[in-house]
Amino acid sequence: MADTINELLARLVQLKPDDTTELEAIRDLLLQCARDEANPDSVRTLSAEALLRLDDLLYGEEEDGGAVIGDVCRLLETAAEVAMGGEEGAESGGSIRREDREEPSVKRDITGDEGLDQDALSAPRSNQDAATGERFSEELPPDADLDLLQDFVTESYELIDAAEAALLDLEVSPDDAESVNTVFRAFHTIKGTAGFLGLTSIKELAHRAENLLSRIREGEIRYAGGYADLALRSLDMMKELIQELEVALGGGKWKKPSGYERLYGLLENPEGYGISDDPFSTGNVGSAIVGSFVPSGSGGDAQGDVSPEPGDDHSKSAGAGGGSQGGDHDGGHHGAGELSVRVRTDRLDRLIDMVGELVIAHSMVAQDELVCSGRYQELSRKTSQVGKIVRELQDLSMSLRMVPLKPLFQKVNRLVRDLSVKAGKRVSLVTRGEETEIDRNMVDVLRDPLVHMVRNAVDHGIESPEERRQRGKSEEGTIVLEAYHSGGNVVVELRDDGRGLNREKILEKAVQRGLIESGTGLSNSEIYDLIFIPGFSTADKISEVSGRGVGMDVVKRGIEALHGRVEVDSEWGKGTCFKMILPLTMAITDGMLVQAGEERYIIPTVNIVKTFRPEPQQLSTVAGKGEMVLLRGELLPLYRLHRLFQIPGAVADPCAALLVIIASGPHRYALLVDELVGQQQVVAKSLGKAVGRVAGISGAAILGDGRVGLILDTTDLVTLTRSDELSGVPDHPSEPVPVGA
Amino acid sequence: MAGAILKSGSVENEAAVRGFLTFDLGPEQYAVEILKVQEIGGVLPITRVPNTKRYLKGLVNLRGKIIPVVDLRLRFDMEEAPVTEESCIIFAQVRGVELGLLVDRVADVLEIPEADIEADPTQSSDCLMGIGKVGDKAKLLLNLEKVCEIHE
Repeated sequence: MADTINELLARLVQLKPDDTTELEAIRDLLLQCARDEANPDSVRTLSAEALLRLDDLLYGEEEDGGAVIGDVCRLLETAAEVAMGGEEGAESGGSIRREDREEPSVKRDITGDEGLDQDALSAPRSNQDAATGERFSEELPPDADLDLLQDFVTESYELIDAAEAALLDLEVSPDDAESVNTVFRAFHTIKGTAGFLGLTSIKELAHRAENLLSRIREGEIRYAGGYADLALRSLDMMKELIQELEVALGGGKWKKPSGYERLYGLLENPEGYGISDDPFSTGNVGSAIVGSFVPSGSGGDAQGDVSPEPGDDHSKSAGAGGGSQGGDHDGGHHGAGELSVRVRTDRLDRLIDMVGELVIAHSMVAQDELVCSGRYQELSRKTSQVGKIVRELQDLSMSLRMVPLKPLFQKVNRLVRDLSVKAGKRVSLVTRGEETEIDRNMVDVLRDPLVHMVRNAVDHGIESPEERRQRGKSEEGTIVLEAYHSGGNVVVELRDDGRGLNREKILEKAVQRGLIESGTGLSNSEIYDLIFIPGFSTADKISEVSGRGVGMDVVKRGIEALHGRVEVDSEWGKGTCFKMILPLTMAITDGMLVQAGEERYIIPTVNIVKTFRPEPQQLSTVAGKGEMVLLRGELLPLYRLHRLFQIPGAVADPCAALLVIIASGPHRYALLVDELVGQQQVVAKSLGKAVGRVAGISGAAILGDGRVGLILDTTDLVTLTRSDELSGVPDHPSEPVPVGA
Repeated sequence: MAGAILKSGSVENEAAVRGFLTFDLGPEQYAVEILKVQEIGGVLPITRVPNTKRYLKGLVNLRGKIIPVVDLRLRFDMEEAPVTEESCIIFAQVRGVELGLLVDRVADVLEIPEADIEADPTQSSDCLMGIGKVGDKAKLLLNLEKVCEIHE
C-alpha cells in the first residue's frame, strides 16, 4: 500500500483546494487505504483520520484549504513512515537527499522511490494478491494458433457489443434478468475461450467480471451506482484487452492497458473500495473510476473520445450484421434468431454498382426503338417483365447496405452517461426510432457530427442542477435523440431542454465579427444559422454565452458531406433542437442534369433553389464584383459554368440561357447553364486516384445513356471564380447582403 | 518494381523472357508489360474533366466502372490526333488503380528476352523503363507507374 500513499502525497502536493474532483478522487484513495485490511492498523487509522480531515474541506466545515491539506499531508507522512518501517525496517538514506528538492509546504519524508517501491511491495504482494503480479506480462503464447486468436477477437467484439447494449438496458431497468444474463454469458464465453487459448489476463479479468455479474444475477447486489460503473468499466477494459490482442496479432507488441491492475483489484473486492449500489456513490466512485481510467487529456477534442471508440474498426467490418449475437446463444432478448452472413463491404459495393449498371443497361434496352415502337408487343411485354425484376433487385441490393441506427444511438447513450458524470450534471437520454435504417457508409460519417452535438448539448446546453432548479426546471436535463423518415429522407433529431440559443448574443457577436451588418430583417432561423459559419465557432466566449457554437461549422460540413443539411431551432431558456436531414443513402444522389455546350453536368438537387431565365434589367455588372443578378431584391453573383469549365459552344447570353440559383454552404449564387436536361438519380462515385481532386467537381456518375457525367461540387465551385477575374467574388462568405430591404 | 526485376534479373529461367503488348503512337512503337494489361477496347465515349491535367483525356464507363483515360500522345507531348477506327483504349492496372491508355493502334504481343532490354540511353522521360530490341526495331517500354500520377 506504500505506493498508494506515495501517490496520494504526490497528488496532494499539486492539489488546489478548490479542485473538488481531485479532492474526491483523493478521498476515495484514502478510503481504500483505510479499508484495506492488508494495511497495518496504524496506517488504516491514520488514513481514516486524514479522510475525516479532508471531509471538513469537502463539506465546507473548514474554510482554510491549505491548512487542511497540510494536516492531511502530515498524517499521511506518518502513515508512510509506518508502512515503510513495517515492511523493510528503517531506511534513512533517502530522506536527506530529498530535502534538497523539497516543496516548501509539504515534507515528503518517504523513503525509496527508485526501485525500493517494488522491492518493498513484491514480497507482501505476491502473497496476498498473487494474481495481479507480473505474470500476465506476456500475453501471446508462443505456440498460439493465429487463426483461432483472430476468430476469438472477432467473436469477443461481438460479445462485448451485445454486453454493452445489455448493460445500457440495465441502466433503465436494473432488474432485467435477461440483460444480466447476456452480460454474464459474454464474460463467461470470453473467459472460457481465453483460458483455452492461454490468454491469462483476459481470462482473469473476465473471471472477476463474471463474478460481479453473477452476484448481480443472484440478487446479492443491485446493478446500480458504483456497481454499474464497475461493470461498464470492466467491459471497456475487456475491449481494450482485445484490442491489444489484435495489435499483438498484427505483429505489434502486447501491452497491458493502463489501469488494468487497479480495476482488477477493484473487482476483487468492490465493497472494500467503497463501491456500493448507492446512487450517491456514483458521484464519488464514478468520478474516481471514470477520472482515473479515462486518459486524462483535458483538451477539448480528446474528450470526444470518451465514447467507446475501441469498437470502431470492428464496427466497420461488422457490416450489415446487426444482430449476430443471437447465433450461438440460446436467444438473447435482442432480435433472437436473426441470422446473418458477413460479407466484405467491397463485394457488397461492387454488387450494388453492378445492379445499378444493370438498371441503366435495362433502361437502354427498354428505350430502344425496336421495343418502344409497339410493333413487337411480345418483346415489349418481356422487356417490362425484366424491368420489374431489375427494379426489385435494385431495391433489394440497396437494402443490403442499410443498417439500423441503433448501434450509433447506443454509443451516444454511453457518451451522455460518461459526459454527464464528468460535468456533474444529471442528464437522461431518450432515444426513439433507433430501428430506422440508413446506408452503413453514412453511419461512420454521421458519428462525428453527432458526437460533437451531443457533447455540446451536455456541456453547454444542459444547465447545472442548481441552475435548472432556479429556473424552475427539473434537475435532470433531458436529451432526446430521435430518428424518423420524412419525405424520402431520414431525419435525426437532437433536442435538449437546456438553456437554448441566445438570439441577441449571437447577433451581437456576428455583427462584431463582421459576419453581418445588422440583425434587422433576419428571421430566427437565419440568425441561428450564423453559428454554422466557420469564423463564428473559433470564439470561445460565444460558446459559453450562447451555449453552443463550438465547431458547429464542422458539424455542418460533416452533414453536407452526406448530402444532407442541418436545421436548428431554439428557444432561449427552453432548449435547442438540431435536425439533421439526410438522404436515405449516399449511394444515390438526386441530381439535375444540365447542359452547357456539348457537355452535361449533374447539380445535386438539394442545392438548387430555383431556376429561371433572367430579363435583361435583372442583370448588372458591379465594379470589383463582376456580374450580378437581382432576384426579388437579392443581389446574387452570377457565375458562368462554361467559363469556369472552359466549355466551348455554350450559350453566352444569359437571357437566352438559364440561371440556376444555388444555395450551398455559406454561398448563394446564380449559375449560368444552357438548359436543363432533366432530373436524374445517380450513383455517385469518386473520380479515382488517377484523377485526384478536381476543383468544382465532387464526383462522377454513370448517366442514363451510359456515359459518365460529372457531379458539381456547388460549394467548391466558388473557389474557381476567385481565379476568374471576370466574375469576381464577394469578400465575405456571408454574402450576399440583402439590398433595399 | 517491374523495372527492378528486369534490371537485376532476379527472376531466373523462364521469367528471363517477358511478355509485352506493343502499340503505335505516331511514328513510334511502345510497349507495356502484358501482365499489367487487363483488356483492350474500342474508344468508348469519353467525358472530359475540366481543370485537370491536359493529358487526362477524361472518364469512360467500363461496364459500370468509371475509369480515367490518359491520352498517351498528349502525355508524350505529341500532337493530339483524331480518334480513328483503329484507336484503342488499353485498360491496365497500376498499383491497384485502373487506368485507360488511349493509343493510335494496338500492334502485337511480343516476348522480349531480358538480354535484349536496355536502359533508355537518352533518359529523356522517366516514363520509360527501357528499350527493347526486336529484330532491328526498338520498342519503347513504358513504365506505367510514371505515366499517371496516383493521388493517394
